Amino acid sequence: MDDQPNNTPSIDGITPPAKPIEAQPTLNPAPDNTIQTPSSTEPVSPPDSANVPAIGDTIATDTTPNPATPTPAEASVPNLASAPKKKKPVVAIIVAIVIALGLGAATVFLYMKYSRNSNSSNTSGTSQQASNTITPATISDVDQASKQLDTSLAQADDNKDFAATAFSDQTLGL
Amino acid sequence: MKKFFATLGLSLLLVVPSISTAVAVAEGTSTGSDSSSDDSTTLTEAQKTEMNARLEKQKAEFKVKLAAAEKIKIELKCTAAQGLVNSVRGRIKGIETSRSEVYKNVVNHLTDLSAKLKAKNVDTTSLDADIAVLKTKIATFNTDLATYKQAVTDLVAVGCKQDPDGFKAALLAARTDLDKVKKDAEDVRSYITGTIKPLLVQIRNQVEKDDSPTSEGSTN
Repeated sequence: MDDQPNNTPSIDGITPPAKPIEAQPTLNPAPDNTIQTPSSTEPVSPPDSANVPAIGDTIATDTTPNPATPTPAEASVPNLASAPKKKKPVVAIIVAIVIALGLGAATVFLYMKYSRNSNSSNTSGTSQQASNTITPATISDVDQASKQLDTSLAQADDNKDFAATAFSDQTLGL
Repeated sequence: MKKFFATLGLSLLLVVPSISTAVAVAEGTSTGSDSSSDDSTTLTEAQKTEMNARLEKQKAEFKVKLAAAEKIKIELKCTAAQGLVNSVRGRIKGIETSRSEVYKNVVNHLTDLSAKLKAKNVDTTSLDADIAVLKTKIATFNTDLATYKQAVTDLVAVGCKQDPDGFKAALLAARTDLDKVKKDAEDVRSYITGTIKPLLVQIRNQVEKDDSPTSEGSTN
């Protein structure tokens, strides 16, 4: 197995470029297999401390994050924490406006309904009272009705309200 | 969370009164616009069409065909005349309100008296019939008053310089309608004074007659 990478035949007698060889430690599974899957016949023994750092070094160089540059996971944490803080007032204001619109509409609706009901109930109430508390007519009632007719008619002046001269040529200057 | 509710509460405090006021004001202006449109002399196309139709009808009715000299005279003076007519038009609205109040009171007084007379078992057939006739006369007055009001509105709104014949026809219509309304008002008045008041005298005598035996009986 160790010979495999070195046995690749060269084309035109030129040795392969250095890049594949440098990539070998990460791509070559041979050292991992020897350490991670020991044979069942051999007793399980702790890995050689000399080998572990070597493997660990290769892993560490690939996966350990650079403390200077935060990983994407680290970068996302402060965003998640700060986002609700910024959205909260906006959401509250929107909710407040929606509630306020509802309350305003409900208030106006109730006011209009109440005013209509009170008007109708007042008129019906007075008519009911009138019908319930009708007292038999007396002479003074008749006299009073006659006087009220005179008073009402006195308030309307036909000659003044409907003066014939209102549209005469003289009045209009024609 | 506290901050959220604090913001919510503050926003509600600020927004609720403003929205309620806005809605109330809108409601008030919407009802007010109906009454203001009644006073306006600016006509829509449909209203202009209706007015022109009325004017044509009035031209035919009054056979208006002005001579050239009379047309020139009207063209010179009609704008000032329309200003005077407009002031009359403003007074008609007040007359309409006061008259309807007066007539409503008259009918109410008579209706109340009729109910009281019924409670005393006095025959009210004549009085009820008179109230019905009076209501009919008042309705006629109201109809003719509306026609008169329309004629005066047309007289103000007609383009008198472009259509002197139309102005003259509207003027004649306004005069005729004014006479009619005046006669209606006089008819209502004369009916009250000439028919209903004498009836009330009869009713009073009847009530007095009905009261006297019981009072005599109670003293004996």
